[in-house]
Amino acid sequence: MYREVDVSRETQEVVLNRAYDIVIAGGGHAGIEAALAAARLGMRTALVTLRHDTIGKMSCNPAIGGLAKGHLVREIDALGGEMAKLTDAVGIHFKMLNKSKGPAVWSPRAQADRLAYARAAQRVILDQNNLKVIEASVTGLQVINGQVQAAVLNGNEVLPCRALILTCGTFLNGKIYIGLNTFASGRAGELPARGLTEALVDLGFVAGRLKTGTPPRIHRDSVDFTGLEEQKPDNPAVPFSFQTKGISRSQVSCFITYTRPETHELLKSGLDRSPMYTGMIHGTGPRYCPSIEDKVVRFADKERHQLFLEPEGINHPEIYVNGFATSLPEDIQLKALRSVPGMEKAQIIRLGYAVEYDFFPSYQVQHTLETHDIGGLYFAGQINGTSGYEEAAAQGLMAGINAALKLRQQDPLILDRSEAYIGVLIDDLINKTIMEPYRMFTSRAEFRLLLRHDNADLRLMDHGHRIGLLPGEVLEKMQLKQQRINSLLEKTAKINLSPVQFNPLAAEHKSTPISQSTPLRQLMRRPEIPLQALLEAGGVSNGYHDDELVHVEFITKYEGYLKRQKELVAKFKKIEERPIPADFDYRSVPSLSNESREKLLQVRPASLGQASRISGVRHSDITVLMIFLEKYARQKSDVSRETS
Amino acid sequence: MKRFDSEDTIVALSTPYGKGAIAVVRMSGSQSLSLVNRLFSRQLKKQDHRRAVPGEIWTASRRQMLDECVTTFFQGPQSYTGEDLVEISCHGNPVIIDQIIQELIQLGARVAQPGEFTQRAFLNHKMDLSQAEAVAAVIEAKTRRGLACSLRQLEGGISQTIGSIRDELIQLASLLEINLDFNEDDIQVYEKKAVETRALNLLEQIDHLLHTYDYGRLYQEGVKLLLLGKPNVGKSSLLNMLAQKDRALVSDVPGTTRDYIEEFIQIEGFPIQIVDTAGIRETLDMIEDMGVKRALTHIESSDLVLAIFESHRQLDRDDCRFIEYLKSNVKGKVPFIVVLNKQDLGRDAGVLEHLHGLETLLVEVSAKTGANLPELKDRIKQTLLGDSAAEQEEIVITNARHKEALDLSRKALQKFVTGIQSGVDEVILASELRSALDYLGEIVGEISSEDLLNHIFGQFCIGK
Ligand SMILES: Cc1cc2nc3c(=O)[nH]c(=O)nc-3n(C[C@H](O)[C@H](O)[C@H](O)COP(=O)(O)OP(=O)(O)OC[C@H]3O[C@@H](n4cnc5c(N)ncnc54)[C@H](O)[C@@H]3O)c2cc1C
Ligand SMILES: Nc1nc2c(ncn2[C@@H]2O[C@H](COP(=O)(O)OP(=O)(O)OP(=O)(O)O)[C@@H](O)[C@H]2O)c(=O)[nH]1
Ligand SMILES: [Mg+2]
Repeated sequence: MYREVDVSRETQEVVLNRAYDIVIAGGGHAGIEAALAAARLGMRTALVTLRHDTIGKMSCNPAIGGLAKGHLVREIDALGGEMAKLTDAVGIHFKMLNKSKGPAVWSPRAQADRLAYARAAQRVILDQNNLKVIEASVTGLQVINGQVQAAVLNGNEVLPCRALILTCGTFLNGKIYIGLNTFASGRAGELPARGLTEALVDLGFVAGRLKTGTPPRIHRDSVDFTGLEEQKPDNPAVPFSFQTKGISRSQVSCFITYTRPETHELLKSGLDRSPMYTGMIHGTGPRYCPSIEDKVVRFADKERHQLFLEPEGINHPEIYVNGFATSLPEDIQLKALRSVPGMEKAQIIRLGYAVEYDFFPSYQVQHTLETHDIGGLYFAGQINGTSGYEEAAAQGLMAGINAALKLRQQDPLILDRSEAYIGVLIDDLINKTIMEPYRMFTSRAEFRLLLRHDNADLRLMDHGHRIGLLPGEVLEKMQLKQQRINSLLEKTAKINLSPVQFNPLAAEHKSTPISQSTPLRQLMRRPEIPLQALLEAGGVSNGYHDDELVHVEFITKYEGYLKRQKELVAKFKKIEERPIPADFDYRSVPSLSNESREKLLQVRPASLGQASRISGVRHSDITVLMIFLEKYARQKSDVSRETS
Repeated sequence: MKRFDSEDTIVALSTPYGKGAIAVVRMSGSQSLSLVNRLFSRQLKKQDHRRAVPGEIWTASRRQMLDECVTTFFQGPQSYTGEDLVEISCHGNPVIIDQIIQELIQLGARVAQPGEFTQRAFLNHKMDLSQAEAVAAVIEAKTRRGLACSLRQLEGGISQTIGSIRDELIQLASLLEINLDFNEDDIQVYEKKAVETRALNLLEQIDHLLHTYDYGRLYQEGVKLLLLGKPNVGKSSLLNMLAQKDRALVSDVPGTTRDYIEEFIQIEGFPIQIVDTAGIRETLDMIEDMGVKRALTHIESSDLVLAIFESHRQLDRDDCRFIEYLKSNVKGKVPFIVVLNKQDLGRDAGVLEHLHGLETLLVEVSAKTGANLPELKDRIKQTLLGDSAAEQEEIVITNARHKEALDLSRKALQKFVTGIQSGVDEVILASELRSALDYLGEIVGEISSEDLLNHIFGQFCIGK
């Protein structure tokens, strides 16, 4: 089985005999954030993972961020997490996505050098005080009186702890499929984790099965890039972290190519040996991330599908064929790839595959990510049914923070839906029935206009600083930004532009000229004229940072909309703040539908607002609940009046 | 204190009071079966579920038989309310009905609050919110037409129509959302113009639905029609004619009607409350006494005014003052029809001259012979409906909650259209569509964020 290596070079005994405050099982993206947060909050922390050299490994595409995910990374950073900094250190292709659309959906994305990312993560972990790495498999846990006491390693060693965070990713009873071949594995080339699912099921948890897939990697030198469309990175690159000054690594391009009808025919010819189409795989895969064979079958009339060839690093030759996830047999993968322009001579370094794994439907956790039934036990990352590094990291961070806060006997940190994508993520996990791996989308955030990537600092740094993860000087920088924004807003409210100042600009940007002096604020509402130009025309000393300008421009242009969203937030908070008492007995409400009652008993919502978001709970059930909560409240107040 | 406990067994008359030959007394709750057996000549059992059993209803003391009747037991949850339920169909004699209900109350039932049967049905998931509201409307619908509307709503007509509007909205919204959430390349994946056209189309559909509320409400709530005119012009006669019975006292002594008389009638399916007033002299005095303003509020509380004049006699000073008043104060506020009564006695040559400017509103009738009465009715209907005469099969919005939600949805959609025309940020546009969807969701009670993603996953090839 596994070697037990104490990478910090203390003797194994010392490590195992020591009682930890918090133990994290899994050194993936969730585990890293959880471990760092816990250790940084002063907890004696152990990160138990299958192999220390795969800590921070990127299982799939070595890209961080992207639509909606970029927001998550910025939020992680604002709270004091690590992912943004790691990405900035090793990113080789930065790009702001959705730049032609509204600022609310601009999303930073970066491709990382895959090996460098893992190395950077390992470095941070090893250098962290209060944090030990133990190479082992967590196979079970000890629970007394509904409270975690210890993690069980490799089936027999006991590692006492006060809180245990499980971040096992795709490893729990992981099984890989390539064509009709299947073997036990958590990720290409790695063994799965056994025993833990069964131990949790014995404790009463419900497990399910999901599936995901990845494309083949090909050798850079086997691709003919001539004639392929080049996609250049942004210059200058916008870093992820609010603390990063600039990006120093050299940047590389990606290339775009397309499948051809011939490719589709080849893919179809392999369907009889597809683990998906032959029914071997039972787990549900993500619909938003379909395999190439799925796309070809389901959208048969599409003549071509776009593929991105993305380098996995500067010094290693792997190219990730984005858009070509597949679990078809080897011969088909190769033939189909070679039918694509530029890849006629492609050499596959690693085959594409599908992986099936256990997860724990996330209604079993609360907003703190602590499980309902076992105190001190937390789930974070893909084990909760999500997919993606960013989703995992966000949960890991929140689990680490909340485990630490609980041990410090402080209030938990729960972000609500109007304040962060992280809030949306966790709230959705708890309330929605997860049928497929959950990925973040901006459309999941009802307050999308308020949650921009560039204002994550303004939204969340107070929290990060308050709990102790964010240094004071970073907070001060944010406060300075806020002040500058406020002063710019004030200025723009005071200044008027004369026709002489404004009309040349109007002509330049095809805007209507003015005939009398007009408030700058008012002119800023014109979508066609950039703020920067207006400020110059108005003689407002520039030197404002891009983020500040975006912010000011956004809130002036969309004042009315923002006001309405804020009103909606207020409305949302109102129903959110109608608590459902913990001892409320849903069985005492005869008129709830059975389905809803089951769901409510499962999720145990903390408020009426949360109850209304649980999937499967009908609108009319909420009305019913309202009536009965009212009744319950009246009874309570009657009783207290009688007893007092 | 008001009792509102779902444990109680409740009872009430479920057919209109004082109308119809057969009345149905309904009782719902766990005690229903045992209570009815205390009064009924036969012993109903659970197995009698849904069987109409004839017999007699007696007092609990069994001293007196109250009525012959048919009793039907429905075992919960297979009943209207989802609870055990009994229906006693007896003769429509108010005295007997009262006695039956009183007996049941003596035995432990209580009188249902208005709408409580429906509320229980709703709480027991026998109907959704919009059905529950429709039932509430059935209870109130006083006429055939209103009833027909309510029934169609019950059958999910509203939900269906709004559902199809909502589906189209979801399609539009997903076009935008796809562009925001799945299209990393900065190319537009939809045709702006096409989306705009589709949105305009939807606006039209919503407008049409909203428009039905104008008269849907009238069907539902009824119309108040005010008869105004000098003494002795034939107001009471007209009332009697319209109501087809001698409701008001008619005489040739001016000032016969001293007070308001109300009567409920039906014209072309509209429930109409006719208010016959005392002669105009008093009304004009009233105008002087209380000031024009208060008189106007009085008139304004009605949906339609019939201003009545005599056709065969020369109009006098009072008539003229009344005409002036109509022209300057009523016109444009409350619709009115000028009725020239006693047309059977001929027409005075000068009458039309005085009514100059009101010709289009004129109808000549005879309350005595009934001549032109159909025309008057027709005119009443037209005036109430405007140009939107309802078609028989149409879904009509009759519920204020639905109207409000549609209104808000419409506003959001309108903003979307203006926004798309003036090049507003797509995220904003998407959020307008989202609110339009959410408002519709309030009617049919659904959530939309998940629906949207489902639609996108189902219809579009997304994901790298
Ligand atoms: C084949 C494949 C395809 C993917 N495709 C996509 C995609 O298309 N899009 C997307 O967004 N995301 C994709 N991902 C998902 C993304 O990689 C994960 O969501 C993310 O890495 C999850 O992070 P995590 O921290 O939860 O777990 P992981 O990164 O999987 O890390 C789990 C860690 O836990 C350790 N571990 C597991 N069990 C134990 C145990 N019992 N004891 C000790 N240590 C243990 C492992 O060694 C590993 O270090 C894919 C992943 C895979 C494997
Ligand atoms: N020939 C004829 N006589 C009518 C007609 N309508 C009403 N009358 C008569 O006119 C007289 C007055 O009718 P009412 O209906 O009492 O008039 P009113 O407007 O209610 O009068 P007040 O209540 O006194 O204000 C009665 O004698 C009726 O028979 C009509 O159309 N033709
Ligand atoms: Mg009269």
